[in-house]
Amino acid sequence: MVTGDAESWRQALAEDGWSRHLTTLDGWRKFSAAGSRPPELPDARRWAAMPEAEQELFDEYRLDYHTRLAAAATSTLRQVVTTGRRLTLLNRHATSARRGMILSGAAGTGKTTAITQFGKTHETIGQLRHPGISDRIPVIYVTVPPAATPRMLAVEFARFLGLPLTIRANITDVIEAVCGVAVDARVSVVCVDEIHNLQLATRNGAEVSDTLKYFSERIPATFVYAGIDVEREGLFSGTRGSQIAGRFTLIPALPFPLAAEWQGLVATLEDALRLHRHQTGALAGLHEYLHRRTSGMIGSLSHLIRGAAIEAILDGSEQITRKLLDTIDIDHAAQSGTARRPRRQA
Amino acid sequence: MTAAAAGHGSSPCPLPFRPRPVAGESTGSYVRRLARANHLRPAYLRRYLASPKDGTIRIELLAAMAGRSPAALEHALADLGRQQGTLPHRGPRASPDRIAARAAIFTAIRRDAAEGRLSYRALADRYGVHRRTVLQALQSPVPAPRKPLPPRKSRLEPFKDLIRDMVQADHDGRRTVTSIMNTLVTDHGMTGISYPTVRGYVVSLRGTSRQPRRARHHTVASALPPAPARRSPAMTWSPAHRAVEQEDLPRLRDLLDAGHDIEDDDGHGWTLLRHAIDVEHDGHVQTGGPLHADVTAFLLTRGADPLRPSNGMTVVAEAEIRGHWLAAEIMQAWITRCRQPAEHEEGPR
Repeated sequence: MVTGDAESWRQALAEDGWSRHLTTLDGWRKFSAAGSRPPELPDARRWAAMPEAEQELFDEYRLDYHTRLAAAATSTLRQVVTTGRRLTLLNRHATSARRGMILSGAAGTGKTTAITQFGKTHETIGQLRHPGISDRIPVIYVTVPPAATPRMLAVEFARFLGLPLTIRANITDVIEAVCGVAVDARVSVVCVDEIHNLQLATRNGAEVSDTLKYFSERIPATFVYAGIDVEREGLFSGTRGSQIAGRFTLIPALPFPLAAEWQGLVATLEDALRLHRHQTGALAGLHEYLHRRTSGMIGSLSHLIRGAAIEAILDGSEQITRKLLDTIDIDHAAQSGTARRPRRQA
Repeated sequence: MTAAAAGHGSSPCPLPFRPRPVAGESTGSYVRRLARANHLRPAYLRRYLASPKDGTIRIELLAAMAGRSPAALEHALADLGRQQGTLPHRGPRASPDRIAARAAIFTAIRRDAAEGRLSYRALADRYGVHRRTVLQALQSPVPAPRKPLPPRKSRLEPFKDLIRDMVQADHDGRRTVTSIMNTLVTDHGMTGISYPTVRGYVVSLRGTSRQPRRARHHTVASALPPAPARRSPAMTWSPAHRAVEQEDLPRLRDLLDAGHDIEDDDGHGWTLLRHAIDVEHDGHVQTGGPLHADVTAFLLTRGADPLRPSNGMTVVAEAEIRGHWLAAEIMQAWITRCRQPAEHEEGPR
């Protein structure tokens, strides 16, 4: 139903359940406030001198840290953030027909990571510009629910903002409240994830698209969509589709080719590891193997390395080797390896 | 559906906009403001917060949605607090120990200034006060009382022009306060202002009692003696008369405590007691609300004389003729009780 990349990212965040979901204001704020501070590894002598209870506690903390390694700045992420920044500035004084951005690509290429990181950047910039003001909500992040109706989409927005909803509320009331609050709270970026759940060919899908369009007219914000292969799913066909195509910049999220950037990516992830006996450069040497395993998917790569790191802490080997990596299972798409081939060499 | 479930769950998430409760406001008013700030319909939020059992607002839920503790809400909202019915205090009120502390600082500053050669600035630094305070201490050993707050503005202020126009357009004075009130509420969106407030202002503009009511109750009017005690023009009213007109008992109490004359006769027999009976009976006739006699009763306990005549008619007789039977009965009972222990007090004044 939902894509692997979104799931793994979200599960990493879903620490204390409900409040950590990105699709609530509380969870989103926690996410955008969280800075990942890597734990300081003690040297062998200090480690040996530590009492056992303290060692266990430190390991627990390291496990926690490795489950959510910092997002690596891929070229897609950089492109999304810079294009997004440019669009928000361009839209600042637009009265209608605001420009937007669509991030499209296969599952596991880091779309959700890219748009959430863009949202986080925007939120941080907003907070720096308006320090100490807590009733601004610079970013709304929602996902399109499967088989969505316009009311379900409006409810998603309301749920993010924390507006109370009962079955009694009709769609007009919900949209009215959402738009009113969004304007008052100075929302300037709206991220809509899983946009592929919206099928323009169906009646409901077309209505949801119209609702999104209506939101974009009422809320003076830049809309950012992300979804799996949306250009092939027919988001740009028909009258509605051509309007979307006319307003949105398409940014493709592609699997990484086996090139310098991939090597750099592996090295970045390796740098973030905090293992006692891991030799720097060991993982970078395996970059070809890693590319074969993951088919160049950043989501799968991150999953593989994080999984191996946790395994290494749990079994006490404290280093990632090719043998250890072989034991980690990853998603089916990457494992079968034939599902997607890079369509363009970056 | 998830949201509906969350509504009945233990921890609903707070609303995006959470205005502060104003001390002394009612729960209903706070829910209304909360809803407006979040672009929700007030009735919708009220229904959401209402308990399914008895329809009262669930305070824990309201507190969670307002992002405040239930204790803070109980403290602020008038109809939740334990000290229900106490008067909200207006203006600064220094506590006794703060006054004492200030007096102690004044004494210390005066002592230091008398013996040492300290400058204003050094004294101010030593005691952590402003140089202005040092100057005050040197001028007088007793700290000056706090400045009073500016008088509270009337909520009627935005409607005063409208009311003035309506009263001026109404040449024969036949328009009732109720009708003016209805116009304000329906056409001009006035909320939260009570009938007595509007009536007080209309009366202060007209200066005299309303004719239409007398005309309606013509049998009563014809039974009145030719020249009953007339209301004096409202502009010339004393503060106590104004308090009676607005049925503001706490203010009336404060005035009487401060030594205000209990009769406050304007020279034509228009006393506070007569005024009270007029206001109470009029409020009952105009609004259809229950007849009450609290201002009358309060004035009686403070020693107002029910037998004080004006043009040969006592207050109690006038109340009876007008139809304020409640006040009449209270006064009758009051008079008989007073007579029984001491007969010699018959002739007042």
